[in-house]
Amino acid sequence: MFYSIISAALLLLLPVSPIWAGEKEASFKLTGPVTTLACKMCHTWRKPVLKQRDLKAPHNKIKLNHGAGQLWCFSCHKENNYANLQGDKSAVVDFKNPQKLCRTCHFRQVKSWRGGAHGKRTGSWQGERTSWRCTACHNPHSPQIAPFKPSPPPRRPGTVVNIDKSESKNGG
Amino acid sequence: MVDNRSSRRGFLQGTVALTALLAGGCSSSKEQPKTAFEDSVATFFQDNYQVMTKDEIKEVLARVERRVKREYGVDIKCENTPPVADVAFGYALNLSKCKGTRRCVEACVSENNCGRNHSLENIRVLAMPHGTMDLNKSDHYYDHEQVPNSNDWYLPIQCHQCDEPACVQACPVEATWKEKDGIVVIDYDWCIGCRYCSVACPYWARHFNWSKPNLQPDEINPKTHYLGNRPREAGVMEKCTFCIQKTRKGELPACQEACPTGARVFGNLLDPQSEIRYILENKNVFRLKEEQGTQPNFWYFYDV
Repeated sequence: MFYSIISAALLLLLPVSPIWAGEKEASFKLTGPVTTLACKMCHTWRKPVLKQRDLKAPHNKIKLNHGAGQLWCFSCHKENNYANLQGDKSAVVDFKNPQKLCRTCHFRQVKSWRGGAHGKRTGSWQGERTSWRCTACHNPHSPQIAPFKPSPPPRRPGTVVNIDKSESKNGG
Repeated sequence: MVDNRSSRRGFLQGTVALTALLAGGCSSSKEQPKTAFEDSVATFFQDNYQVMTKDEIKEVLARVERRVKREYGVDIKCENTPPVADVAFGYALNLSKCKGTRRCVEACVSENNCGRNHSLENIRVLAMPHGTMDLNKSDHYYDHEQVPNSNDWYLPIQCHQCDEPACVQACPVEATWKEKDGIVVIDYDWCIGCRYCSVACPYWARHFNWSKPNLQPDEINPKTHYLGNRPREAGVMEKCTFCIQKTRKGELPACQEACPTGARVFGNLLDPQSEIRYILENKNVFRLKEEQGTQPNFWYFYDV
């Protein structure tokens, strides 16, 4: 009796495809975005592929478009230290201070940022204010800022505003 | 000259007081709420902001608050925060970073209670074709699907708060002047609406309220300044005041806060540690129409 229940349960489970079947070439499927899982959850027992390649699951959410193909994951992340950032020629950098890594290439921008000529500031013009760090505006994997939809233009002379605020040509 | 004017003013005020006394004598009792008629009479005989005493200004501010309450049903706070000592405001704008999103214009309109019906916008973002600095070729009505458009670069223009303001010299009634912190302001109640200043300004920075601003009660920003963003009447000029109601309290102007690309830098020119001073000392800066000799406090720069 007991064995029959077990076998029935197994039979019921068998037609169900394994949870990793959705992605080819993947050994498992993530239930959340990559950022919610610590790298070391897998990479303690699974050696990372150091070779540059097209990113598949579970890293498929990362669209790497930085440095025109010259940069790879391990340009900024190091195999033995996932909790921090580290470049090829930089010291170990906290994730909260990405500018210390970015400046190895973008030294002009970081210099401008420190002086106040690059990046956004909020708060007060005197006293305390917030300097937004590199990754607050730039996605480090694809740092180019996406185009914007502009706010509506001013009304041209010769157009009148109707009561419902929509515009129409004056005199048709 | 000054004595003559003040004696004339005194005479007129005496006449008004006498009339009010004859009409019923209710103006002397302070507990009674002021009527719209009393307020409009008082506004008619109100003096220039620069020569008013502190008590007079206090009355005027209360009157502004009452008028807005009456017209829009909104409780606002109208203040006259004075200039901060040892401060001269300056503005710098990074042309390499400006992408023409017009977020600054949007923020300016809502912060400064600008009229929604006549598109009175204190900031004008010019789309300029690549390879030219000719402002005649610019278009500020651009309506691209996406910005930056590949054919254009963008040049936002607002009041440059000049040290030698042409608009101030043009005003026949001294309704506009330069404050100690460098902001050129207008006393809207003293302005006669002749629009000479708007012709004199080389930056198209002054705008005329042809009609009453079409403000909805929920659109009104209740934190106002007498010389800044209090709701205007029809028939007066208005301009950018570097958000006087915010910046004199240490905050940043609305356009700077709204800019998504961080192209705008605001600060104190007299503070050697300020960001604006860093830009003036380290970047390639230029001022628009410098040959006009108005000494603007607004610099454009670009990344090299």
